[in-house]
Amino acid sequence: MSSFETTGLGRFTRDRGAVVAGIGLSVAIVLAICAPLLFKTDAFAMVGKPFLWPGVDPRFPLGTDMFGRDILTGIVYGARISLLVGLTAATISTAVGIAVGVVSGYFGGWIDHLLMRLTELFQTMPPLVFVVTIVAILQPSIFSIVVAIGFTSWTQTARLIRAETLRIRESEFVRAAFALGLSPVRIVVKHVLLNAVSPAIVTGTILAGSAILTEAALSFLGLGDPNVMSWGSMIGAGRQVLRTAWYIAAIPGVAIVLTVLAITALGSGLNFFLNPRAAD
Amino acid sequence: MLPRLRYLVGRLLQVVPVAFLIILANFFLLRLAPGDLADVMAGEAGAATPEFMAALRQQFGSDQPVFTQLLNYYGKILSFDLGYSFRNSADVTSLIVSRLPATALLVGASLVLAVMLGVALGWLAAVTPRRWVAGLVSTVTSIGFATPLFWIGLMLIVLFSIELRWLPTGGFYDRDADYEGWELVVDVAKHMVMPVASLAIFYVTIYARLTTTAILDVQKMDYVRTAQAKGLGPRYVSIVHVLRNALLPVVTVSGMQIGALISGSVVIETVFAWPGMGRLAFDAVMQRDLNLLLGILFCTSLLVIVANLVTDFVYALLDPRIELQ
Repeated sequence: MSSFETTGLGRFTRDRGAVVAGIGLSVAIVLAICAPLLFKTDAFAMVGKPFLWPGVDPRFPLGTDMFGRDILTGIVYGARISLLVGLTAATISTAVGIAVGVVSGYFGGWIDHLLMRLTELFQTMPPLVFVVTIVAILQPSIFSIVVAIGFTSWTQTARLIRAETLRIRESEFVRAAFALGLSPVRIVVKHVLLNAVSPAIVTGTILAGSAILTEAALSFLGLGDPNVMSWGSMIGAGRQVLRTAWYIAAIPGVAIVLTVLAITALGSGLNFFLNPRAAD
Repeated sequence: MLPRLRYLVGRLLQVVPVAFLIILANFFLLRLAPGDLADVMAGEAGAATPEFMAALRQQFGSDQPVFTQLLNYYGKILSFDLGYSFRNSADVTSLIVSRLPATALLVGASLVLAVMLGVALGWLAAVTPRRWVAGLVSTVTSIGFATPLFWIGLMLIVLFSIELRWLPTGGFYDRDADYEGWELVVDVAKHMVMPVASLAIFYVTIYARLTTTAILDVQKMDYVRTAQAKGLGPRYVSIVHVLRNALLPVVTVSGMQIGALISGSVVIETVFAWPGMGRLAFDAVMQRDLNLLLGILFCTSLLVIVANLVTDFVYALLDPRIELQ
């Protein structure tokens, strides 16, 4: 085995699926960011004849929907929303999870007890019903969707980080550092964060994938941000004409599947990249 | 029998703080909503009569401090009074209870299907000597993991209802036909096929992965080697010694997934017009009936607690190493 293959990047590139996923996601992100430059009209504009099937008119490679809106434009604009919600919601829940886990594991006692009951509470309430209720109460918007998903899906990260904190708090070097008069808080936090980065990132990619699925479900149920085009709302609209034009609902679904697949594949590639023990 | 009873009581007592926290969370969500408590409790403003609103305000003590309101709220919920839905002209508790059987049927059937199929696939992937079979199972589970449930449902409708005309698009039974007895059972079963299948797919992937990992772990155990060493046949060892122990994590996760399954039933019931709690939640969202929605959140959370308790008992029965304490 060459030395390159044992480096992190080498391990990552051996996972061909992750490389393809990484490239695909990068293209999707660039397209999503450049959407206003690529398309002269926004996703809600009526640009052609309605109900054009994909491939019929070269101007609309993915066809048009029942209002004559270009589906390709909708998909690219929808990617903005999906990726934005996935990234921010996963960041929020990872941050909350790390904070809860570190505090709970480090302090122990009644703080730990209280935070664990809280974690149990969030694990008990059915996730989508919980998110739907919060979004319905706060009024649907990108902000309320991100907040609702981010603040309800941190429990797994919290448990993971708590276990890691407990392990490190009891370790020899923290005791030694404490005996030397160093601040144990700094040492625990530093080592927990260093040790927890890779599992937290891998969990984070799973969270990002499920956040995208949750956002799609919300907009499908009519709780999406009404001002933006999203894949879930495109499927919801396509549902009304399923009998005659099923491609309108099918295409955004394929976009969701590919995106979430790519994110999870990237996550398992990152696991190889960050964790040398995971390779075998 | 006594230790089991003590275990039961102790486990039930652990549930109490979580149930109290759920009610507290519901109360805070109520306070987040626009308008005062009475506005939310009465559903969309304007749907209720002024007299009823005044009575509600009186009852809740909208002019009282928050803590008093919270106590009143606890009192109401603990007596199973979840308020009244003007949009549905029925009280919330009986509305939810009337929708419970349909959801239980859907979720229960999906769980059974998902566990059976998932364990079978996971077992296949773990024991097969052919690498491509394991690879295929892994690819299928990855795709299943990334696919929105409601979209699977819609695509099944396109294929089996619209193109092939094999199955009905939705509903619980055929309202136009006056089926009775066995015919009705067959009709309901026909209506169940697609909702159950689409709800199960996601969970099949979870159980398949879990079973594969668990089997690979258990196979390395010393007692498996002992069993092989004393000359037991490979099939006997693989079923009695490996699979049985590998099923324990599947039981644990089944309990943990009940909340997710109920979540999934919200979208699936909406897609297939299945008359359960999920569909009720969707209607509550459409009608902006926040109190009904909170009632559903509360009741489904209670269901999850009960499911977790049942899982714990099943687990204790399956695993001889666990003592009930």
